[in-house]
Amino acid sequence: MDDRETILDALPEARGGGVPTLSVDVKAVPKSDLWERFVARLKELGGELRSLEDLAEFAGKAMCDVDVPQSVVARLREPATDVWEAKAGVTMAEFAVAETGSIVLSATPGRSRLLSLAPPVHVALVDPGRTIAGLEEAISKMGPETGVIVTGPSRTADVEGVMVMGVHGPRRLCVVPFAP
Amino acid sequence: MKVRLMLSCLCDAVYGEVGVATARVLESADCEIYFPVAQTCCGQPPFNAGDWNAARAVAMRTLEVFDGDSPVVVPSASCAAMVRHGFALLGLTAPRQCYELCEFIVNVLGRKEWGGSVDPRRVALHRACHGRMIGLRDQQRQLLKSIKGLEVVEVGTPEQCCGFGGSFSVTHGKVSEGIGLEKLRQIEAAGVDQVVSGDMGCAMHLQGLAKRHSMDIKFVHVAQVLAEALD
Amino acid sequence: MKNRFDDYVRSLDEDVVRSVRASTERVFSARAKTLPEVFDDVDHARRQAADVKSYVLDNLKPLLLKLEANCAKNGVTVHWAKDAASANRIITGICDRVAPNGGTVVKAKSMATEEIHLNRHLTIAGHTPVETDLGEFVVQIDRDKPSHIVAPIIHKDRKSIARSFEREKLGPYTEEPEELTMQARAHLRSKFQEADVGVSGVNFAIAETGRIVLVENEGNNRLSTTVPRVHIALMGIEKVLPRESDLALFLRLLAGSATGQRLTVYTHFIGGPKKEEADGPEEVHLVLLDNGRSRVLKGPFRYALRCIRCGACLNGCPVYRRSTGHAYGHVYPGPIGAVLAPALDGVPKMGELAKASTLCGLCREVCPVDIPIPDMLLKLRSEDERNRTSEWTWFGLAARSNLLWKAGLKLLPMVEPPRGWKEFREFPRKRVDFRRWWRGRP
Repeated sequence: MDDRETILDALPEARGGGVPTLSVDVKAVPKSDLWERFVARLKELGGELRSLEDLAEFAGKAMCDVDVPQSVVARLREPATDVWEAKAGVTMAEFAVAETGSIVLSATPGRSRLLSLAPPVHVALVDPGRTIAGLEEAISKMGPETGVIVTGPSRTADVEGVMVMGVHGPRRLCVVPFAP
Repeated sequence: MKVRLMLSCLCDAVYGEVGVATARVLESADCEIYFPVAQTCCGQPPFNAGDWNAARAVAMRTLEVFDGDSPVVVPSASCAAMVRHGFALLGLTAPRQCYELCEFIVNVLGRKEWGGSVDPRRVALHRACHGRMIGLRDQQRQLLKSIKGLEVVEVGTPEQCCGFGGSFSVTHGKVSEGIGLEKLRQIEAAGVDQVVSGDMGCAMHLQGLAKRHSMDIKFVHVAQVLAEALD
Repeated sequence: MKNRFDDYVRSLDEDVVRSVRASTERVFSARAKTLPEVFDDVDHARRQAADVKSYVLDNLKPLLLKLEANCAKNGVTVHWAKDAASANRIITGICDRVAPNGGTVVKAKSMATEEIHLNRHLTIAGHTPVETDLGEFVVQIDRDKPSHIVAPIIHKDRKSIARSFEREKLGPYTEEPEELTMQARAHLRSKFQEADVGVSGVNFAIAETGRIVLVENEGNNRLSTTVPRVHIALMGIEKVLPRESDLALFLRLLAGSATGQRLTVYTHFIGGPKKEEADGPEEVHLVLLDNGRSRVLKGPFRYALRCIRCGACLNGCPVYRRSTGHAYGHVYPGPIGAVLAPALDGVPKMGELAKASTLCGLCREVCPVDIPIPDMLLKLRSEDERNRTSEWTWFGLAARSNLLWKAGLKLLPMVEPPRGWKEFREFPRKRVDFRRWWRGRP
C-alpha cells in the first residue's frame, strides 16, 4: 500500500454538513474614500506615495516590468537590465486594498515576480480608480495564477524585536498613482 | 432566598475566616444559609493533577451532598468552575446552580452595589483565572468599588495568572515562583495597602511567597472586605 | 518531585527570561490592540474560524482529494507522506534528481520541516540546507533550536547574534540590529541565486482552487519559492481550507494574533509553476504530511489540529514567558505544544508537558481558532498513569468519608507540605475553624 492509500485509509469518513457560512463583521473595511484610506494605511506601514516626476530619482538604475507603459519607461532613461543589480523594480499593480494598505500583483505572461522583490526599492504603479475596499473582494478578484498581496516594505523584528526594513525584500515601497 | 454554602476545602482546612465572612455576607443579603456538613471537596485538586478516578469519586460525593434545587454559593471561582465545567469533562452532570459569591450577588440577587464603608485604603484586586471558565467578568470589582473608603486600583498585568495552578505549584515550583514574584513586584510597585483576592488558592501561594521573601503584602478575600463593610 | 522542565528553568539566565518576557508582552499587547480594530466582535470571528476548521477536520478526506485534483490541474505535483521518514525521502529524492551531486537548498521558515528534521536528512543526503528567515538562519549557524514558533530567536539578544555573525565572517562586528540584518541579507542573496531547490511550509492550501498560500514579513519565503528551479512545499494535512473566500478571515486572524499586524507584508498565492512569466520555479511540489495527524484526528485531541501556528498562546502564557520554548523540549512549545507534543508523540514520552501549565485559560481566550487547550491539557493529564498516585487515592478516600475528612483536617497542621511547595513558600496557619463557628452559632 502506498502512502496515499495509507493516509486516505486512516482518515475517518467525511461527516458532511455544509461549509459554514461566514458572517464576520470587519470593522476595518472602509465604505468610502477608498484611495485616501489606502494611502493612509500605506504610510502607516512605512510605504511612500510618490508621483511620476519623482521617478527621476531612479533614472538609469531602475528595471521595468514588461507591461510598464513606454511613457513611464522613458522617464527612467536606459533602465537597468539585471534584476539583482537594479536599484529599483517598477511594476504594474492590479489594484490597491484600502482595508490593509496593500497592493496586489499578479504573475501574468511576461511579468517578473522578482522585480517587486529583489531590488532595494519597489515602485508600483497603481490606478487609484482600482482601489478595493477589503480583503475578501481583493482575493476574489485576483486571477487564479500566482500572485502576491504586498502590505508595506519587507521587514523583520527578529533581533530583540527591533523593526528593521528591507531584510530580504525591498526596504522602500513607493506607490505611484497612474491611470493608463 | 435559600442558599447552600459550599465552603471549599481550602477554607475548610485553612481559611475558616473566609467561610465566616461569606456566611455573614450572604445573611446580610437576606439569604437563608444551609451548610451541608457532609461536604468535603469538589474534586478539583485530583482532577487538575490528572487522577480522574479519585476526582470522579470526590465529585460524585459532592453531587450527593449538594443534591437539590436551591443555589449553591462558594467563595471561589475555582470550585465553581470545577462544578460547572470540570464535572462535565468527568462525564458527570453538574448541579443546577453553582455560583461564585460575587457572581451570585450581582447576577442572581441583582445587587449592582454593595455599599457600606471601611477604613480608607488602597487595594488591588487579584482576579483568579478560573473566573474565565464561568464567565466571571467585573462582578468583584463592581461590588468593591461601591464601598466607601476603598480605592480599587489596577495593578500590572491583571490578565496574567499568579502562577499557583494547584499541583503545578508543587511540580513546577521554580516556574510558579517566578510567575508569582513578578506579580508580587507589580503589587509592591503599586503601593497598595491590601490585595483582595476572589480565591484563596492564589492568595495562599502569593502570601506564602511574599513571606518567604520578606515582602510586606497583606491578602484578604473579597468576602472579608464585603463583610467588613457591613460593620 | 523534580522534573526536567523545572530544572531547565532553574538553569535559565534571568536576562533571557526578561527579554523573552518583554518581547512576548510587546507582541501580545499589539494583538490586543489590533484585533478589536479589525473585527466588530473578535470572539465571533474566532468562533467562525473555529467552525471552518472543524468542518475541515470533519471532512478532511474529500477536501484533500479535491486539493490534490486541483493542484494537478495547476501543474503542481502532489506527494503523500505518511510519516517523517516518508516526507524526508520524498524531499531528498527530488533534491537528488535536481542536483545529483548535491546542491544548495534554500529554506523558508516552516514548522513542518522542523517537525521532520528535514535539515539533518538533506545534509546526510549530501545537500546543503540554508535557512533564510533571519531568525532561523541564526538558529542554524548556532546549531541551536527555535524557541518560539513565530519568533525563533526570541531567547537571544543582539550581543549573541553579533558574536555569531562575527564568527561566521558575515561582516565587521556590530550590535546594531539594522546592520546585522543587512549582513544577513547580503550573505543570503548569493544562496538564493545558487540554490537549486527552495523548500517552504504552507499556511493554507485551498481545496477548491489548489492554490497554496504563504505568509511572511521578510521576503525570504517569496525568494525561496521564486528563484530556484524547483519549489517544494511541505504541508500538514490539516492545513487545507475549503474555499478562497475563507482566506480573508484566516489571514486577518493569523496576522493579528501573531504580531498585531492587519496583514503580513507578503501574502503569496502560488497557482503552479512558471508558465509564460519571466521568472518562477519550473516545478512545484506539494508534500502532504500525515505523521500522526490522522491518528490525532480520531481521538480527544483533534481540536489541536485547528492550530494555525500564530503563537498567541505562547505569547500570553505565564509559563512560556518564564521558561522559553526550549524548556518544552519539542518542536512545538507553549500551551499548544503541551497538547500537540503528547498528542503526536504519545503520552508516555511527552505527557509530562501537559503538567507545565497553570490552567489559567488565557491560551484559549486568545486562540484565533478557539482551541480548548486547558481542557485538553487536563484530559492528557488524566491519560498519564503516572499522575494516579497513592496520595490522590488517599485524598479520594478521605473526601468520601466524614470521619476520615475530619481526621485529615486535624492532622493537616502536623503534615509537612510537599517539597515543591516548601522550597519556595511558607505554609499558612489555620486561625479560624469554620465548622466550629457554624456549630456554635445561636
